[in-house]
Amino acid sequence: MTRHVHVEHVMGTAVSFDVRDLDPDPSAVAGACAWLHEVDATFSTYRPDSLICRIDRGELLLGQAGPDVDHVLTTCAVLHEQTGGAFDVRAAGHLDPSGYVKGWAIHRAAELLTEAGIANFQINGGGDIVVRGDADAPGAGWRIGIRHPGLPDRLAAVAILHDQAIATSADYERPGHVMAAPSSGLRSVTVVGPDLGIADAWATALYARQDTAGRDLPAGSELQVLLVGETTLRMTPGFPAAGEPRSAAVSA
Amino acid sequence: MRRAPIVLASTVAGLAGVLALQPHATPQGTVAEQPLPALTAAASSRNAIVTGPMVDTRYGPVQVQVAKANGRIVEVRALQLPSGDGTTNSLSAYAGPRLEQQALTVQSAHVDGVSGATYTSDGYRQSLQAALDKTATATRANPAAS
Repeated sequence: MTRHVHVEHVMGTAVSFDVRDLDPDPSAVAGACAWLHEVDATFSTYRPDSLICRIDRGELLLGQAGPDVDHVLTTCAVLHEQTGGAFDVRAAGHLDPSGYVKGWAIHRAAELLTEAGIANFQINGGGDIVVRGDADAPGAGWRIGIRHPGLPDRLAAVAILHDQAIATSADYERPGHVMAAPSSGLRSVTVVGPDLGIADAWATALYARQDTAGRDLPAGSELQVLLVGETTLRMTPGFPAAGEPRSAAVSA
Repeated sequence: MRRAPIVLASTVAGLAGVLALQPHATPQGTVAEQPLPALTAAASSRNAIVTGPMVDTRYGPVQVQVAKANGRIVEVRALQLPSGDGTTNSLSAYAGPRLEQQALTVQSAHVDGVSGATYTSDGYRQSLQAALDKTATATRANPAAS
């Protein structure tokens, strides 16, 4: 299958577009990138004139900031409630919804590509990924490796995704804590679901809570969770792991 | 909130995709593309070994090499690892022996992408992406490619 790859540096990370359609509309990815830059300008906490900073300083009321800001802050409030406070846009001491915004923006970028008629693609924003269609063989989906928390060039598991999103949260991005395994032994949390913003927020919340049993998922949740520990993988029964786990089911 | 049942699994061959770490497996250098020896019978440029650029991370320079077979990544190697400060030394010391057993389980992991944004692996990941970009470009540039 033909690959059309574009990497856009935006939102403080590299966003990789990997389109596998035979002859995709080249303006579609450009349009999606323009959208991501627009989101960056609106939600950046590093730009004092961004809408989000102006709201944080009280210079702008919520209703004045437009539907995207309304949607993001409303969703973040719901996530804060659902996660029992573990997902918190004010965790850093100021308004910072980026824990949801990046995934939401990439999810919307995927919708833009779909609307442009592109069927098979992956958008990878700093390791948080949306896939549509197939990477190669029809119906085979996408094989997405989950980074091993101990070594950056190794994988802990492989997930096979079909029109889904996957996000991973871990402590290895904080240099001072790279090797300090949490007392629970939980090293990373990966969440698969239909919406990247939601999956990302839940991965962040479950990791922040060191929820080694995954018991904080909302009832009836579509989310599937994989927990990487010191020596074990644990996952919800519906997690789309490649291969058959040679394991015994145990109660959490 | 309802408890979600969890399946406890050891890291096993079919599930885990751990890639062997071979810091000195290949000479470092610029982009090198060559047939993957074991797979030369398959479609030409979909089999390639591509070396990504050196990427600076907080821990030092990192560089990866990607082997592709039939358009898929079959192996990722670290050619250059950060070294020289206490943090990265402790990382290597920690990860090496502990992961040895898992490394044995992964011979044929191939992936289309990697989830897990990390500070230190940003370098790896971006380097991996750059290598992937190069394989895509090579595929397009070669009319014989499928």
